[in-house]
Amino acid sequence: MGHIKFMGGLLMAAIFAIAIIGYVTDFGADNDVAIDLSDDEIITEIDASLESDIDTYKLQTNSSLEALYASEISAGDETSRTGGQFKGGVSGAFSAIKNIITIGYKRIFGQEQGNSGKGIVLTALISFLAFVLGMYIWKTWKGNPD
Amino acid sequence: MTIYTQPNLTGGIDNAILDVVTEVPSLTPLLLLFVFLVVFIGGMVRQKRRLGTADVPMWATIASISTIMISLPLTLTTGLIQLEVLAIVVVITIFSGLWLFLSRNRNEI
Repeated sequence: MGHIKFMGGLLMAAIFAIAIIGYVTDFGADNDVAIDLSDDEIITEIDASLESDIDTYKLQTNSSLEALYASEISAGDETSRTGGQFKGGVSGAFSAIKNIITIGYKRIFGQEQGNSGKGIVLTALISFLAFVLGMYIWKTWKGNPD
Repeated sequence: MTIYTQPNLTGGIDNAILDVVTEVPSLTPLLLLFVFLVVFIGGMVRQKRRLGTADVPMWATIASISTIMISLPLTLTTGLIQLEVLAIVVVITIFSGLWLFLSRNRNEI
Protein backbone atom coordinates (compact mmCIF):
# COMPACT_ATOMS: atom_id res chain seq x y z
CA MET A 1 0.00 0.00 0.00
CA GLY A 2 1.63 3.18 -1.16
CA HIS A 3 0.90 6.82 -0.62
CA ILE A 4 -1.66 7.05 -3.43
CA LYS A 5 -3.53 3.92 -2.31
CA PHE A 6 -3.55 5.09 1.30
CA MET A 7 -4.94 8.51 0.39
CA GLY A 8 -7.42 6.80 -1.95
CA GLY A 9 -8.51 4.55 0.91
CA LEU A 10 -9.08 7.53 3.21
CA LEU A 11 -11.09 9.31 0.53
CA MET A 12 -13.17 6.24 -0.40
CA ALA A 13 -13.97 5.60 3.28
CA ALA A 14 -15.25 9.18 3.65
CA ILE A 15 -17.37 8.92 0.50
CA PHE A 16 -18.70 5.53 1.65
CA ALA A 17 -19.74 7.03 4.99
CA ILE A 18 -21.52 9.94 3.28
CA ALA A 19 -23.27 7.51 0.90
CA ILE A 20 -24.52 5.21 3.69
CA ILE A 21 -25.79 8.08 5.85
CA GLY A 22 -27.40 9.72 2.82
CA TYR A 23 -29.08 6.47 1.77
CA VAL A 24 -30.63 5.84 5.18
CA THR A 25 -31.77 9.45 5.69
CA ASP A 26 -33.20 9.63 2.16
CA PHE A 27 -35.06 6.35 2.76
CA GLY A 28 -36.57 7.97 5.82
CA ALA A 29 -37.55 11.14 3.97
CA ASP A 30 -39.04 9.30 0.99
CA ASN A 31 -41.13 6.85 3.02
CA ASP A 32 -42.11 9.09 5.93
CA VAL A 33 -40.77 6.57 8.44
CA ALA A 34 -41.48 6.52 12.16
CA ILE A 35 -37.81 6.16 13.14
CA ASP A 36 -35.74 8.65 11.12
CA LEU A 37 -31.95 8.74 11.21
CA SER A 38 -32.04 12.48 10.48
CA ASP A 39 -33.43 12.90 14.02
CA ASP A 40 -30.01 11.83 15.31
CA GLU A 41 -28.12 15.09 15.78
CA ILE A 42 -24.65 13.58 16.03
CA ILE A 43 -24.84 11.65 12.77
CA THR A 44 -26.30 14.53 10.76
CA GLU A 45 -23.63 16.84 12.19
CA ILE A 46 -20.86 14.40 11.26
CA ASP A 47 -22.36 14.01 7.78
CA ALA A 48 -22.14 17.77 7.20
CA SER A 49 -18.56 17.77 8.52
CA LEU A 50 -17.58 14.96 6.14
CA GLU A 51 -18.94 16.86 3.15
CA SER A 52 -17.02 19.94 4.29
CA ASP A 53 -13.85 17.84 4.58
CA ILE A 54 -14.26 16.58 1.02
CA ASP A 55 -14.62 20.19 -0.17
CA THR A 56 -11.44 21.09 1.71
CA TYR A 57 -9.69 18.12 0.10
CA LYS A 58 -10.70 19.33 -3.36
CA LEU A 59 -9.47 22.88 -2.76
CA GLN A 60 -6.16 21.71 -1.26
CA THR A 61 -5.55 19.26 -4.08
CA ASN A 62 -6.24 21.87 -6.74
CA SER A 63 -3.95 24.48 -5.17
CA SER A 64 -1.21 21.91 -4.56
CA LEU A 65 -1.38 20.68 -8.15
CA GLU A 66 -1.22 24.22 -9.52
CA ALA A 67 1.87 24.87 -7.39
CA LEU A 68 3.41 21.65 -8.68
CA TYR A 69 2.75 22.73 -12.28
CA ALA A 70 4.38 26.10 -11.59
CA SER A 71 7.49 24.52 -10.07
CA GLU A 72 10.56 23.53 -12.02
CA ILE A 73 13.47 21.16 -11.52
CA SER A 74 16.96 22.41 -12.23
CA ALA A 75 19.48 20.22 -13.99
CA GLY A 76 21.38 18.02 -11.57
CA ASP A 77 18.71 18.09 -8.87
CA GLU A 78 18.40 14.70 -7.21
CA THR A 79 15.38 15.35 -5.05
CA SER A 80 13.01 18.15 -4.14
CA ARG A 81 14.04 20.32 -1.20
CA THR A 82 10.59 20.31 0.42
CA GLY A 83 7.82 17.77 0.89
CA GLY A 84 5.23 20.33 -0.16
CA GLN A 85 3.96 18.30 -3.08
CA PHE A 86 2.73 15.62 -0.69
CA LYS A 87 0.61 17.92 1.43
CA GLY A 88 -2.18 18.20 -1.13
CA GLY A 89 -5.43 16.99 0.40
CA VAL A 90 -3.80 15.34 3.39
CA SER A 91 -5.47 17.41 6.07
CA GLY A 92 -8.90 17.30 4.41
CA ALA A 93 -8.93 13.51 3.97
CA PHE A 94 -7.41 12.96 7.39
CA SER A 95 -10.00 15.19 9.03
CA ALA A 96 -12.69 13.06 7.39
CA ILE A 97 -11.24 9.92 8.98
CA LYS A 98 -11.12 11.71 12.33
CA ASN A 99 -14.81 12.50 11.96
CA ILE A 100 -15.62 8.87 11.09
CA ILE A 101 -13.80 7.61 14.16
CA THR A 102 -15.50 10.26 16.28
CA ILE A 103 -18.97 9.16 15.19
CA GLY A 104 -18.16 5.57 16.14
CA TYR A 105 -16.79 6.70 19.45
CA LYS A 106 -19.85 8.75 20.31
CA ARG A 107 -22.39 6.15 19.18
CA ILE A 108 -20.71 2.93 20.32
CA PHE A 109 -19.04 4.10 23.54
CA GLY A 110 -22.05 6.29 24.19
CA GLN A 111 -20.27 9.32 25.53
CA GLU A 112 -18.99 12.60 24.27
CA GLN A 113 -15.29 12.72 23.69
CA GLY A 114 -13.37 13.14 26.90
CA ASN A 115 -16.27 12.55 29.27
CA SER A 116 -16.08 8.78 29.66
CA GLY A 117 -12.37 8.38 30.23
CA LYS A 118 -12.02 6.37 27.04
CA GLY A 119 -10.73 9.21 24.89
CA ILE A 120 -7.44 7.33 24.76
CA VAL A 121 -9.05 4.94 22.23
CA LEU A 122 -9.76 7.77 19.82
CA THR A 123 -6.36 9.31 20.49
CA ALA A 124 -4.56 6.03 19.81
CA LEU A 125 -6.39 5.34 16.55
CA ILE A 126 -5.89 8.81 15.11
CA SER A 127 -2.27 8.97 16.27
CA PHE A 128 -1.51 5.64 14.61
CA LEU A 129 -3.12 6.75 11.35
CA ALA A 130 -1.10 9.99 11.48
CA PHE A 131 2.07 7.96 12.07
CA VAL A 132 1.29 5.67 9.11
CA LEU A 133 0.55 8.66 6.88
CA GLY A 134 3.81 10.35 7.88
CA MET A 135 5.81 7.18 7.18
CA TYR A 136 4.18 6.79 3.76
CA ILE A 137 5.02 10.38 2.84
CA TRP A 138 8.61 9.96 4.01
CA LYS A 139 8.93 6.64 2.17
CA THR A 140 7.59 8.18 -1.03
CA TRP A 141 9.87 11.18 -0.76
CA LYS A 142 13.17 9.86 0.58
CA GLY A 143 13.01 6.07 0.26
CA ASN A 144 12.42 3.17 2.61
CA PRO A 145 12.37 4.41 6.24
CA ASP A 146 12.83 0.92 7.70
CA MET B 1 -47.35 -18.37 35.33
CA THR B 2 -46.00 -17.04 32.05
CA ILE B 3 -42.61 -15.45 31.54
CA TYR B 4 -44.12 -12.55 29.59
CA THR B 5 -47.51 -11.37 28.45
CA GLN B 6 -48.70 -13.42 25.52
CA PRO B 7 -49.12 -11.44 22.27
CA ASN B 8 -52.61 -10.91 20.90
CA LEU B 9 -52.61 -13.09 17.80
CA THR B 10 -56.10 -12.07 16.69
CA GLY B 11 -55.00 -8.54 15.76
CA GLY B 12 -52.84 -9.57 12.81
CA ILE B 13 -49.18 -10.42 12.43
CA ASP B 14 -48.11 -6.76 12.78
CA ASN B 15 -49.70 -6.46 16.20
CA ALA B 16 -48.28 -9.83 17.26
CA ILE B 17 -44.73 -8.75 16.37
CA LEU B 18 -45.21 -5.37 18.06
CA ASP B 19 -46.49 -7.10 21.21
CA VAL B 20 -43.47 -9.40 21.28
CA VAL B 21 -41.03 -6.50 20.79
CA THR B 22 -42.79 -4.55 23.53
CA GLU B 23 -42.36 -7.45 25.96
CA VAL B 24 -38.83 -8.38 24.79
CA PRO B 25 -37.10 -5.18 23.55
CA SER B 26 -33.88 -7.06 22.74
CA LEU B 27 -35.61 -9.04 19.99
CA THR B 28 -34.80 -6.54 17.23
CA PRO B 29 -31.10 -6.06 18.06
CA LEU B 30 -30.67 -9.85 18.37
CA LEU B 31 -32.44 -10.39 15.03
CA LEU B 32 -30.08 -7.90 13.38
CA LEU B 33 -27.07 -9.52 15.09
CA PHE B 34 -28.23 -12.89 13.79
CA VAL B 35 -28.45 -11.59 10.21
CA PHE B 36 -25.02 -9.98 10.52
CA LEU B 37 -23.33 -13.10 11.89
CA VAL B 38 -24.99 -15.47 9.39
CA VAL B 39 -23.75 -13.43 6.43
CA PHE B 40 -20.36 -12.64 7.98
CA ILE B 41 -19.38 -16.10 9.25
CA GLY B 42 -21.13 -18.01 6.47
CA GLY B 43 -19.54 -15.99 3.67
CA MET B 44 -16.13 -16.01 5.31
CA VAL B 45 -16.09 -19.77 5.91
CA ARG B 46 -17.37 -20.50 2.41
CA GLN B 47 -14.72 -18.28 0.81
CA LYS B 48 -12.00 -19.85 2.92
CA ARG B 49 -13.06 -23.31 1.78
CA ARG B 50 -13.09 -22.28 -1.87
CA LEU B 51 -9.99 -20.10 -2.04
CA GLY B 52 -7.98 -20.96 1.05
CA THR B 53 -8.17 -17.39 2.37
CA ALA B 54 -11.04 -15.26 3.62
CA ASP B 55 -11.40 -11.55 2.93
CA VAL B 56 -12.67 -10.59 6.38
CA PRO B 57 -13.16 -6.81 5.83
CA MET B 58 -15.15 -7.42 2.67
CA TRP B 59 -17.51 -9.87 4.38
CA ALA B 60 -17.89 -7.49 7.33
CA THR B 61 -18.97 -4.77 4.91
CA ILE B 62 -21.37 -7.08 3.06
CA ALA B 63 -22.87 -8.31 6.34
CA SER B 64 -23.28 -4.72 7.57
CA ILE B 65 -25.06 -3.63 4.40
CA SER B 66 -27.32 -6.71 4.65
CA THR B 67 -28.17 -5.70 8.21
CA ILE B 68 -29.06 -2.18 7.05
CA MET B 69 -31.32 -3.68 4.38
CA ILE B 70 -33.20 -5.59 7.11
CA SER B 71 -33.33 -2.68 9.56
CA LEU B 72 -34.64 -0.06 7.09
CA PRO B 73 -38.14 -1.62 6.68
CA LEU B 74 -38.34 -1.95 10.46
CA THR B 75 -38.19 1.86 10.73
CA LEU B 76 -41.57 2.17 8.99
CA THR B 77 -43.49 1.21 12.14
CA THR B 78 -43.18 2.79 15.55
CA GLY B 79 -41.81 0.46 18.19
CA LEU B 80 -40.08 -2.15 16.06
CA ILE B 81 -36.61 -0.59 16.21
CA GLN B 82 -35.08 2.18 18.32
CA LEU B 83 -33.20 5.13 16.86
CA GLU B 84 -30.09 4.15 18.84
CA VAL B 85 -30.08 0.68 17.28
CA LEU B 86 -30.41 2.13 13.77
CA ALA B 87 -27.57 4.59 14.48
CA ILE B 88 -25.32 1.79 15.75
CA VAL B 89 -26.03 -0.31 12.64
CA VAL B 90 -25.10 2.66 10.43
CA VAL B 91 -21.93 3.33 12.43
CA ILE B 92 -20.84 -0.33 12.24
CA THR B 93 -21.39 -0.23 8.47
CA ILE B 94 -19.25 2.90 8.19
CA PHE B 95 -16.50 1.28 10.28
CA SER B 96 -16.63 -1.86 8.16
CA GLY B 97 -16.16 0.32 5.09
CA LEU B 98 -13.24 2.11 6.75
CA TRP B 99 -11.68 -1.28 7.55
CA LEU B 100 -12.25 -2.48 3.99
CA PHE B 101 -10.72 0.55 2.31
CA LEU B 102 -7.71 0.64 4.63
CA SER B 103 -7.13 -3.14 4.61
CA ARG B 104 -3.99 -4.45 3.03
CA ASN B 105 -5.55 -7.71 1.85
CA ARG B 106 -5.68 -8.56 -1.80
CA ASN B 107 -9.26 -7.42 -2.27
CA GLU B 108 -10.70 -6.05 -5.46
CA ILE B 109 -10.99 -2.47 -4.23
